Amino acid sequence: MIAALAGRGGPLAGHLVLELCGDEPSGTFGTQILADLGATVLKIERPPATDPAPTVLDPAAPVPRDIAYFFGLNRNKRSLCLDLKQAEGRAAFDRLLAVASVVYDNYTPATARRLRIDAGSLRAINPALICCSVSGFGQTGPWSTLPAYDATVQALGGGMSITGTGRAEDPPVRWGNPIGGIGGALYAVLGILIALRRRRAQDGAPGAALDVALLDAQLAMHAYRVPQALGGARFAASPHRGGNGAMPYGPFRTADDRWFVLGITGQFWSRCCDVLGHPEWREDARFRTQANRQANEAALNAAVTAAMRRADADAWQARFVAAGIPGAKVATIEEAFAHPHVPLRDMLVGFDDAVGGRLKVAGDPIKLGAHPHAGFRPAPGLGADTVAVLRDLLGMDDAARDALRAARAAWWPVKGVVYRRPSVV
Amino acid sequence: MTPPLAGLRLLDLSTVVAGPFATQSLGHLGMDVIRISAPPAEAPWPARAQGAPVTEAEGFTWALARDKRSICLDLKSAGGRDVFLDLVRCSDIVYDNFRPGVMRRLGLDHARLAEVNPRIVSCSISGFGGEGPWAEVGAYDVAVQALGGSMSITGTGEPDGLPCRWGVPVGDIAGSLYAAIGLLAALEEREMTGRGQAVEVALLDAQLALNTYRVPQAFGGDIAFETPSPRRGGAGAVPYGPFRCGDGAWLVIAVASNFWPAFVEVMALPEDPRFATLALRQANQGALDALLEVRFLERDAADWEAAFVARGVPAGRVHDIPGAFAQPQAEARGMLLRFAAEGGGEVCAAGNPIRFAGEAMPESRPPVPQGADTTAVLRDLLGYDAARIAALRDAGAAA
Repeated sequence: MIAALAGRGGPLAGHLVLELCGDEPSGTFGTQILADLGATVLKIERPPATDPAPTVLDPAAPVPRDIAYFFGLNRNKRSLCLDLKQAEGRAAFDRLLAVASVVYDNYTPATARRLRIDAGSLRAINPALICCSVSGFGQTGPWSTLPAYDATVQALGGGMSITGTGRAEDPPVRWGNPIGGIGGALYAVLGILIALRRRRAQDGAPGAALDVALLDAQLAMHAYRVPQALGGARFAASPHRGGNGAMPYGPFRTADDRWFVLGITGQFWSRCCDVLGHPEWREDARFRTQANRQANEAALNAAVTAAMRRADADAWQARFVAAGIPGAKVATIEEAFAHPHVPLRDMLVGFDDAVGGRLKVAGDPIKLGAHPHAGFRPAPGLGADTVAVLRDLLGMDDAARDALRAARAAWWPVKGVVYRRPSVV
Repeated sequence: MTPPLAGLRLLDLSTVVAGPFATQSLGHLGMDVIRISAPPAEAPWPARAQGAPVTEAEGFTWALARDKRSICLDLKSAGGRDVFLDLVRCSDIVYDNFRPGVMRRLGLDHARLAEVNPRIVSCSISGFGGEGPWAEVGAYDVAVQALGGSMSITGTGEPDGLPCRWGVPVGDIAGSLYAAIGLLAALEEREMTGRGQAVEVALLDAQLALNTYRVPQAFGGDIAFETPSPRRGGAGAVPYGPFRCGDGAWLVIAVASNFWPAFVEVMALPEDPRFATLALRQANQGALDALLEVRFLERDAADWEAAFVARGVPAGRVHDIPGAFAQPQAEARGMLLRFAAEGGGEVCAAGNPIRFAGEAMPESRPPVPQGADTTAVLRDLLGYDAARIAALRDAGAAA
């Protein structure tokens, strides 16, 4: 029954995941990974106060920003509208807890307790549950009460101090993608799978309460810089010097005014000289070794800047690929999906659906031998799966379901699909 | 307490960052992660002088090779390969980040491994995947970030401004995290089917996936993301981003509408109809940012941060890496691990963000030199006798 409601087949078939999350990627991105892997992910959403009109898109206009956003984080999921503050709604939720494997929330600890969706409350009902709480700062510590925003997490985590132009007068820069939330979500999914493994493999092992803090994830991703940074080294944004001192490195302008990044570690320098059209640089005393290039950084960058100006970015791209050395056009997001490997790897995916048919989302980067790509299910309309869940998972008959809907303890649209959510960005 | 991943064994052939990053977390949580490197074995590390700076090589080792055992095998030799296949028989996962085709040339692709152990999960990370015109192109973090699209939305936003990569090598790290997720999912499926499978992750794919909601907004929403917008939040929040404070340090704010009244109070802003709603703040962003730039200079970043935190308004100082680990919240979470190195020195590393609340987690174990566990693994795990091990060493197949 649970597997029949999954968005697609996959290794997590048969696991029910209840998503109690706001719109942010720290929640919805994590549960989307579980849905991509074949889990049945139910978004538990609040019933609307009045019946919203079905979503009808203007065929001549682009898909509205909020609906596109929603598709980017909710494909392969199901939607159940349930009012957890009403006794009947809560009772239905509690019955779902009994058959669920995972509950995933991204509220602050205080809010989760107020809603009685904290791990303590939920595992009192089903001790085998894996409750995963993702929050800005975690369940413990002086900041645990505070909400987080991607930009503040990136600042506090130290990543911004090593990102930017490197010029003293310029501001520090955050990564354009919300890695604060995304980083937490990736660790949350990893933690959930580890807890599932333990529950399955160890006799009598209970579920778990996972406590994932976005700040912790930012700190962990510094990885190899931590021993050095805490051992005396200073790191700053260095757009023209690579991790192991690689040089030339970073963005250079091309003839067509595009940016092209190089990442020339020692072993690639010789081939790089040929590609740049300056084989004589190999013997140039200023540039011969990496130490030479570092000592003559300004001269090197000036020379490479002049050389890179002589061809367009696409021409450079072809030459660098042919030579097999690291160099890449700085692609816009749209251009990134024009990479020749994207169709080979199903990394841009459309939908067979009136609204979804007008959108495309990024594919699943986890390629599994036993599960060739077979398409994605569109993101669910608000309450689109309420009836199926109440009927198939909880065995409620028509009368029981209608009573829930009449009390607005549960809700589903009578006609059409509602994509507009009050809270979606 | 039994660690959560006890009873699982992973043979880790990976190098640099994209591979070892995630297997370190798995090792910490109880998986028996065995690094396999080509001979020769490393000599025992010399004692670290107290206070000596940590080198880059030491940084990699202490961050990425903890909680792992290490053996040296020459997979190109018949003897080394046979030992490896013996290990495959008693392992759950084979994990590599070789260029595509290397495992096949070594005769160690998933089909061959599955003949030896049908339950084996093989997990391969590469830059661009095994097929296609870029399959043989080396992946380097900055190139992967450029190709993935994120550099085009990262920077100061000034016209002609440099596109920036995230200083953290997210090209590698995201691929590594996805690989760990994939292999654990494959292990879960194995409980049902009794069979392993091949898991494959390309670093470029991971970068593409991290564009999340911007992808449908670009493909169907017709939104062109061509420049960074450092002073505007994803949901259009204004004011937003870094502001320089009185002490020269930067404070990042992110004032979603629900925080605006408290923000106004902390900043002691006069009532101003130009900024009354989010739409107005967006329309008059230039005037608002200019006003705030002056006002933020009146106090130090730490003061501002404390004032906002007291009111529950999201704000954070731009910490450098040591500062990030020194903030009280990071200390309270125990995110900095300190190891006593031989010789009296101390080496620090980041803790594991995967926390099981209310449970004690294993202590992280320091790294060992390459090849430190060769004898123990061959003898205790594979039951080889001393003569056989010596012969393998003499032949250069193991070290």
